[in-house]
Amino acid sequence: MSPVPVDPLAIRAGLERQLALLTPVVEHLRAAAVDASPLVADDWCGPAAEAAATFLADLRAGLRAAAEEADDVVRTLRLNIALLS
Amino acid sequence: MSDSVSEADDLGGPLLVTPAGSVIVATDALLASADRLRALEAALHADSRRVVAADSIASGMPIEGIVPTLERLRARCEGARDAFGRIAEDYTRAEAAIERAQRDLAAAIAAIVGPAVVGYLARMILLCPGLLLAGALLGWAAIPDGPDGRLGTVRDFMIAHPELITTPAFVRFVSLVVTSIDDAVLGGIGVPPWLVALPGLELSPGGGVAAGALTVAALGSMLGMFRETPVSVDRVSTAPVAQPPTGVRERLDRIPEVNQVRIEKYEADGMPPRYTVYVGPTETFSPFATDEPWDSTSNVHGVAGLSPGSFRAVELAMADAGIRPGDEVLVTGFSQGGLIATMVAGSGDWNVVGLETYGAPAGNIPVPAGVSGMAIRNTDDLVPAFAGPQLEHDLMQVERRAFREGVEIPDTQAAPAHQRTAYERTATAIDDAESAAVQAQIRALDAFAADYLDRPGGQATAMTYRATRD
Repeated sequence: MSPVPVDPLAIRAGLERQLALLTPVVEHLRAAAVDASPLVADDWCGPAAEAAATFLADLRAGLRAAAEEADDVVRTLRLNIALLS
Repeated sequence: MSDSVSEADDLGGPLLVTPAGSVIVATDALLASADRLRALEAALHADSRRVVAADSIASGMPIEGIVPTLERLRARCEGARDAFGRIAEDYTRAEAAIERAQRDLAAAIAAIVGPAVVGYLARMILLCPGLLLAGALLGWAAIPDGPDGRLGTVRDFMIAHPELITTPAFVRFVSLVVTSIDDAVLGGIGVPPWLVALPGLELSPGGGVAAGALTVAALGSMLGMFRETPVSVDRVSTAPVAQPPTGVRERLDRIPEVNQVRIEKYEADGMPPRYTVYVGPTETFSPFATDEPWDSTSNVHGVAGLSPGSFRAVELAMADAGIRPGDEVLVTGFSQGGLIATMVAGSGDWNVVGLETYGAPAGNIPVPAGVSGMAIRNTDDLVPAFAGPQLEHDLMQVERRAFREGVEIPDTQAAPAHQRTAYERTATAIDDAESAAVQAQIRALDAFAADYLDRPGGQATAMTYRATRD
């Protein structure tokens, strides 16, 4: 069996396209983790206020985690592109 | 122009919004939170699609794990948004159930107690009028005599103690009383109280409010009060309009006083004219008709569904301004002006496409389907309560307390939550509202006039009218 031919240029182009698609995702998730305040101030009190605060904290933590996850992929992509240079 | 009111200066409570075509009441903040969550969900979905697109590139590296994380986050936002919707539904359902129970109880009490009280008074008048008169005189004499007489003392007391009438609870009480007058009448003619309390047994639509106002008008007319007269109008000025109004506050600012009606005519090349009619508030509260049509007589006759002088005067002004039955009209009014604006919309004689009212006692007036706009009320303003609960219509309802719990209520004017200044603050709060639903409604009303001035040949003229009783 002959090995599958590898086209480094095609692989690099593919990785760069992936990088171009994922970089804005990381940027958005990072910004959202810091800025996202989907709850407008209201006269909430008691358990409702606590639930809102918990939701907000969980959401920001989730956005941070997603940003880290996507950033890991982006870093790997950059590394692979650099290795192909 | 609208003045910006900072949060610290604003004495009012949160905005309560019932979007057009809905019965669910939610705060503007709740609606805005739902809007923000929806936007975040859309952004997360777009992120997911980018990740999927990246993963589908054959010559790239496999991407795992990110999409499920993003979808979990999106589902979390969607869950929170659903919870907000349930909160609003539960609040609306609970509030409606409480109000229904209160109205049924008030109807039963009115049917039981009303006839007894009226019968007792009638017996007193017939059998011992002297005793009744002596009691009334004793009560009157017990009121301290001030510089403006005893009536002035009562007035000053009410102004000095605005907290007595400036609460949502008192406003609800007034609404219950006015919707129970017809129940007292039904009880008086022998209908059993349990039957009176049944939903649907009312002398007029809107919870019997019109029947109650008719009763007041009929009883008052025996004492020379609330007697209607012919009216006439004079155009007192015609001037170009530099700018169309932008926002709720600017429309409120254009509602006239003294000269009670302002009509703006908007024209553009090749387009039929459009008109905005602004109707002013009550000018005198005297129950005896003088030369002022914007009086208590018009208020009572309007709520009763009759033909009040101020309504006829507005129609005369509209005809003088050249408004034809097919021309598009936006009507807006404050207090009695809101009542009359609603009557114009409900008359079917004009092509009213938009309606905006502030503190109008107009809840019992049916508004045709398709008329959009806003009915704005302060929940601690007792005046709208005189028309009972709001009938269903296609208007967005926006409410809030003019004076939120704990703030000092000014003691310089009667019924402070009904004063123009209170509605100016509410109008500014509406303009500052964040929810997409409120902002879309404001933009739609703004566009009515602005669209024409943006077109070739766009121009506008304002006509003001002074109406008098003949």
